[in-house]
Amino acid sequence: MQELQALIQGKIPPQTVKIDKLIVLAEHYSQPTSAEYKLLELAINIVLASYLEKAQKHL
Amino acid sequence: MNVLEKAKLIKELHQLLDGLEQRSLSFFEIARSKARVKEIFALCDEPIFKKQIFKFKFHTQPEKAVRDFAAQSLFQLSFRGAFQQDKALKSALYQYPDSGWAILYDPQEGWQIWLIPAPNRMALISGWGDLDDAYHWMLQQQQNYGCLKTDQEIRQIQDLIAQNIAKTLTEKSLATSDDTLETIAQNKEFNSIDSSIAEVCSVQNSPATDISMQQSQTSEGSQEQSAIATEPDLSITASAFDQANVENSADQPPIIKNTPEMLQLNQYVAHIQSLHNEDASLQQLYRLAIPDLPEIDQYIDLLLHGAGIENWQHQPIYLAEQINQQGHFIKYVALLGAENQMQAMQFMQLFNAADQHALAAIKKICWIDWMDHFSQMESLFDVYTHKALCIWADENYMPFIPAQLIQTQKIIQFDESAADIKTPLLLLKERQKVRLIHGQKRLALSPTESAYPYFLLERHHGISWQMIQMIISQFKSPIDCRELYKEIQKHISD
Repeated sequence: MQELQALIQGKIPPQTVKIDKLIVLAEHYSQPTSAEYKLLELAINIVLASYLEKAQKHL
Repeated sequence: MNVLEKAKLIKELHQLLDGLEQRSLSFFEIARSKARVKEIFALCDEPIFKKQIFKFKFHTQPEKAVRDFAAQSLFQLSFRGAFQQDKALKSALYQYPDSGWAILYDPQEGWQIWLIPAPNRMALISGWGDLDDAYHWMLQQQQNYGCLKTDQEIRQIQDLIAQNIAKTLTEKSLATSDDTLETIAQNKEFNSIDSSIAEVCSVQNSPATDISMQQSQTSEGSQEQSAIATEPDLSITASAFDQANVENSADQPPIIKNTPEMLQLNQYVAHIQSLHNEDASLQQLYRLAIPDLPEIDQYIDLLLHGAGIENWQHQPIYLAEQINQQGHFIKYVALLGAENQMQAMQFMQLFNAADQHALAAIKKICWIDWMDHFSQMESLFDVYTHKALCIWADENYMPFIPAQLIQTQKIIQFDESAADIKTPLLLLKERQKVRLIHGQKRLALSPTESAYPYFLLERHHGISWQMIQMIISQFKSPIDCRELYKEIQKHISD
């Protein structure tokens, strides 16, 4: 979760986050009303946006 | 999508991009991977990914992408479209010179936003780059100039105008209906009065004062091919006029509901009619028809700006000479109720565009000077020529004189040079007659025109037939009209 905090604060770039770890966290924190879920959602949106940016050139 | 689904999409995207960038895939695998990337983009259509999805949509549905972008802005109603050629952009943007913004796209450079900073000013242009950056730039300019009204502000203004017009029309309608009832009471048999009153009342109760919003989509016409997106949907106010103009018949021009809405023009009653033109409706531009003067249609179109209906007598009347694409005079156009010169020019052009006509010049005159002169062509020509003040003229403007004012028999015979449609007549006014000096070939070219371009000399300026004869004798044949006029002018000034 500290890594996600760092990502949200812009301290680490999105594509350095381990994707498998994100999946594990997403499976673990599945309750949308929980604080962990909200934090995870923020972080995952940032990572997904960065991959979508990267994918632009392949459209 | 929940976070787990998004996390799995991230992983899939990572693998797809790795394959596309690092590995040598077959054409089939490349195509399949790219197709899946597009599917993932489509799955991510959420506001949080707006920036990324816009680029995706721009590749797949450019028109929708730009329309959506404008719709998400605060200024959709001022958006004039997105284009790949600056010429097409300028044409669309400056069609409404008071305000507006438009997008220019270049595959190499990226995006630009063009913004009109103040009425009738050249547009400010952002740097090339990301569309969001360009939009951010536009918001900064908006802070500096306050040049755009938000959609909400425009709708409030439109509602206010519509309400004012509806109120005015309701008052006029009530007055008209009262008169009608009185007439019916005087002229009908007693036993038929009830049904007539009921008929009039039903007309009066028709929804003339309803105000509604309607959607209108304008097209870029010939620029459509170069535009990457057409103009967005514009929510426009449908005034009481528009509401009432739904009813129409083949025999009768469209009028404001069943009981005509009218305007008193001096001693004449003018009916207010729709122009059946989306842009004209948008601008509340209407035609005035005077049943007692049907013949004036041959030489003048009367227009009314609906928003100025209460105050039109205190505004200048704008008069224009309308010509066709070849330069033939069509008729005069008079516009009542325009708030200023630029609006008048805009409306005149809007009116002409429908028939692909053009304007030779626009003048303005006050109602008092014009009110007794629109019912006859000669009188109209006279005030247009001598009392109206020119506010705009075409670069090569030549005024037009009505054909019926000219004595076409040539007094001095000489050989004229060849004429084309823009060749003017050279005329001499003596006493109450306008006689032809030069123009036989011009008249022969098109003898049925209602008015011709002309130069006019006047006897009381010291010009005589002897003088003209003497000057003509100094020319070699054939004689050009403009050169002859120039020489006579020179002779007078010497």
